[in-house]
Amino acid sequence: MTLRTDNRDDPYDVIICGAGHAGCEAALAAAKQGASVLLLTGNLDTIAQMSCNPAIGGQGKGQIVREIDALGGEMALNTDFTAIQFKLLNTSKGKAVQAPRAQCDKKAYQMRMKHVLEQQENITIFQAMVNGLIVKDSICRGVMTSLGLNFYSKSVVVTTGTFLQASTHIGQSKSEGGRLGDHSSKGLSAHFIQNGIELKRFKTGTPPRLLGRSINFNGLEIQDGDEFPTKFAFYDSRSVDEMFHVEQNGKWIDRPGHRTGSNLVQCFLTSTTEETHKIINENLHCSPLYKGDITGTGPRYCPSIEDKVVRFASKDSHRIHLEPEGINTDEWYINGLSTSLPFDIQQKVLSTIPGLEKAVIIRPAYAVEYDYAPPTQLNHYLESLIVSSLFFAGQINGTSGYEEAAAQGLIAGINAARSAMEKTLIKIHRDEGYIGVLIDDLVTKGVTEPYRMFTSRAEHRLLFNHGSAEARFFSKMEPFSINSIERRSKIEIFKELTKFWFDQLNKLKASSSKCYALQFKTEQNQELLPNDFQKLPVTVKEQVLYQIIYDGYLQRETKVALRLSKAEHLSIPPDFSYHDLPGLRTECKEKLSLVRPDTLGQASRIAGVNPADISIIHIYLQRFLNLPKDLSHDLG
Amino acid sequence: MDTIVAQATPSGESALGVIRVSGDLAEKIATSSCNKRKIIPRVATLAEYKSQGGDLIDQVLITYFEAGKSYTGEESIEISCHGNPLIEELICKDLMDRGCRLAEPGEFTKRAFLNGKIDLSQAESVAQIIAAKNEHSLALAHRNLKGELSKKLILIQESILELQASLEAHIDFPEDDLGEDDPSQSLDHTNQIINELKSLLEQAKRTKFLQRNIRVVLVGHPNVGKSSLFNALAGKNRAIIHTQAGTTRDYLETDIKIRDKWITLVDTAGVHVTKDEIELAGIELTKDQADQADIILWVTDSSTPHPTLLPEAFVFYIENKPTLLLRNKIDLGNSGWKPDINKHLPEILLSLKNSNDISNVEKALSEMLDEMIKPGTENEFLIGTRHENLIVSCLRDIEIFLENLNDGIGYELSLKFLSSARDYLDQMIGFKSNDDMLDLLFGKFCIGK
Repeated sequence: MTLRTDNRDDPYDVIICGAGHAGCEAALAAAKQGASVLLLTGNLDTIAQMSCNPAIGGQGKGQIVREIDALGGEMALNTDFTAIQFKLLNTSKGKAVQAPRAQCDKKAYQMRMKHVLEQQENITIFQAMVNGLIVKDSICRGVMTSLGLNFYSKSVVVTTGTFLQASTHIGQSKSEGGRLGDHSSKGLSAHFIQNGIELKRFKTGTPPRLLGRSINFNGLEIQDGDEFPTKFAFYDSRSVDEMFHVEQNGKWIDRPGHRTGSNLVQCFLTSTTEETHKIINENLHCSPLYKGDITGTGPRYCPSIEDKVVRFASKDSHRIHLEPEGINTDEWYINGLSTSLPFDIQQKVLSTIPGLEKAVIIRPAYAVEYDYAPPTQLNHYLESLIVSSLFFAGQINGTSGYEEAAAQGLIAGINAARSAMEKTLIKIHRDEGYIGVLIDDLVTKGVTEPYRMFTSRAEHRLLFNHGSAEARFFSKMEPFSINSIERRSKIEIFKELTKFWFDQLNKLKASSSKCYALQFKTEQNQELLPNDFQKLPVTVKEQVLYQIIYDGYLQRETKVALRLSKAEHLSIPPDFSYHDLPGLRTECKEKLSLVRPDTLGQASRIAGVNPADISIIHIYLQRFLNLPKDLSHDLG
Repeated sequence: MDTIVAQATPSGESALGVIRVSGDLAEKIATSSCNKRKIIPRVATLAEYKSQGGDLIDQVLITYFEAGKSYTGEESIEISCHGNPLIEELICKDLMDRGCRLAEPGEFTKRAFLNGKIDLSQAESVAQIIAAKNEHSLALAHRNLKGELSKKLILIQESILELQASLEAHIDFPEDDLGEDDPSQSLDHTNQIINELKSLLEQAKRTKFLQRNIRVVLVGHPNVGKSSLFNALAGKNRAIIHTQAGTTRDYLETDIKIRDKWITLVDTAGVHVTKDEIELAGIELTKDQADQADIILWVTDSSTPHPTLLPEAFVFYIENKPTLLLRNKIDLGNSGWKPDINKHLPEILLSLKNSNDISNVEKALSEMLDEMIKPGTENEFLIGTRHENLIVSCLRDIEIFLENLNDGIGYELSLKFLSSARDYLDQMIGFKSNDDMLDLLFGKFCIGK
């Protein structure tokens, strides 16, 4: 366990640069693959920090967390154990688009994740800033740190988040740092560029944090959590050890009386007023966004309050959600009020919002600008196309969100470890789950704003309901053995039970009235279900009912997915030369040569490649690879 | 390989029209459609092409090529028929009934390439032809659909995209302030799209004028001189003229040329309130004819006051179709009767004894024809079979979507039909992606909890 510094002959298998949400998953996944892992972080106290809102999950994201759990990641468990309010979103809509979300205790979340890392075999944690890569013959061999120490490894995963060349803005005041009060990583950007990796600039922002006792909650709309929490981890399939691993085996965490999934806190809802908008409009000239000081592109789904007021001038009010940052702090997160306006204007703005008239800011709102590496420079394993053995995950890839970062970290971690150990790498396809959609979108289409998951991005979202994640990834993950044998056998039982009861209920359906399936939709008709079924674990019941209710749609969807996947998965040889292909436009040849798609399906999603180009490639592939010709009508 | 069919010669009146078929069904189709037990390969054979239903469509020259000896390398046939767009369309439709599908542009050449009939050095031209499918043929499609129609399709595509964006917003941003999720608004929006599509299909129907004769149907009470008028216009003694009411019990039709345009002129049984079963059957036939009419010639006897209007169904057709009122027998007197309907009709007073009056009718009819087939709009509304089929499919999916909305089925399920409906439009006017939908979504809603 001694730190292997400057030791070229005894390299680590994997070095992870950064211990945010991506880095933590990457380290754990790599270690569970059996690799020796060195996790480097600029600051041990900010491991797994939730830099923005104090919640995990939500629409699109909640499903990702369930998939992370199914693939053996930690985020789901960590959320379940540190959540202080659970809420299932979209309950008024169909199960296919329902998503779990939880408010978390930020500090508890960090501490538990840190301890999980500390307890994990094969991981060495060390506080040091990475400021350069050691690259030889376009292969990454290790990293340099600001301490002057070099570390060698077979693979490197970069999970530096928003820290590259980062600057924070509050009005005219600008300082370096990837988060308020934190450092910025400068040397690394230069090293990337030196090695031919292109960097671009994005912007994001965060709202002010307020002192709770200065907020007048009287009269504000209360937002309670659910009485029966929808947890993220699949408890039914876990052994007792897995459920409580840190809490039981951890050295320091002992929280008697802590009930997971308890609905401990309330959130509140207020809204901006006309007066708020007036102040913002009058002070737009002080906003670095509007002055042009910030040039990076920000996310449209998470605009600053000044953006909302300007772009939606006809709206006289915008919602503001008040969310507690934890149970051992009185710090409150003001969701919906992200801004880069100067501090004094922030105070003025607050004074116009019901309940916040006398609120005290304890952490000002700010915007942050940072370098990201356009993810089209990666393959589906999240490995660089330019420097091999170098993997990227998280916000550095131009994404946003803890969940999106963690998902990438997990995949990059597994692949970095397997690459170091010379084993086959893993690729999640877009017809397998949201993580597949996420990675394929990133490496194929690239990003024009910080990328966030929406369910509409998935062609087959009906197949990706959150309750099916474990069963969906089961066969796929068999060879990768991140999950314990005990859990895997439980997942198998889950699959069998689901299938058995699906058939049983289908028989009932056939012998009963036509509307039987529809009757299950509403809670009050539960008594129609057989007694034995009622006794099943909730996860099984939910999944069976989902399949029964949506049967026709799911069958149709599965058929479509299967038909598309034939052409989708038609692989293009890695040495395929687009320049020799007659009839392709030059622009298209360049795009294709840059992205180097693995499959025809991927090629078809590259911006600037049109269906005609795909036809040409398809024909070429068919004709010269002697592939079956019945695929010829699926594309183009 | 499935069997594809396409017209090899451009549609339009010409001496010959050639239709090509390639694929596994070719030989079977060649023998069955032309009623030959065996067909000698690569020999042009004179035959009567009959539809699957057994109707003779045309006398054709059919040539069969066995696999390996055709342009595509597959079993193929070439059918030379008379160069009449109607005949070509009927044959193509029949071939589709027999299991063929319409070929994509460039598909014959593509098959030739895939089957090794042309070599790699020719691949570039192949590629260009196939590229034409989207880029160049898109331009072509734009030219064909030029002007209003193309614009209209794009508007419909955007309208669908917008509807999709509002519904997706409610799925993906459940906690944002999107305003009331008002299903009635979506219903209105959907109905609007459906109406637009339906009106396009109406236009498609109208453009059939360019591919077939305009049907001009004579309608009126018995014994007002319809058959005499029919004969006078046809210029030959085709119908039996008799002064007793109810002579023409079936209908008669003939193709004649009015000025420069061909029409099908139809004579029908007189219509009045009767209990005579034979007459009633005749009146029913007349109603079918009036229904199929593009133009109605309503003939009346101007010498006698008319006690009643025509039966209601006919009034409906007269009010809804271009109609010319021909007040016949003016030589016997003018009662001054005016029809009591909700439409002003152009009318001509005439006597069949006066040849000038007949040319007046021809002149009026000719003007109506010109109005229907304006030279400038000829291409504007020409909706080919492929486009018509795509619009029909699009409409079908939107209607399923509407049903889903009405049944309260979740957006996540009904949206599937909305996007598949859009796919059909995409095939005509260019592809829209999920990112286009998101652009609209973020433009319309202030997202950002």
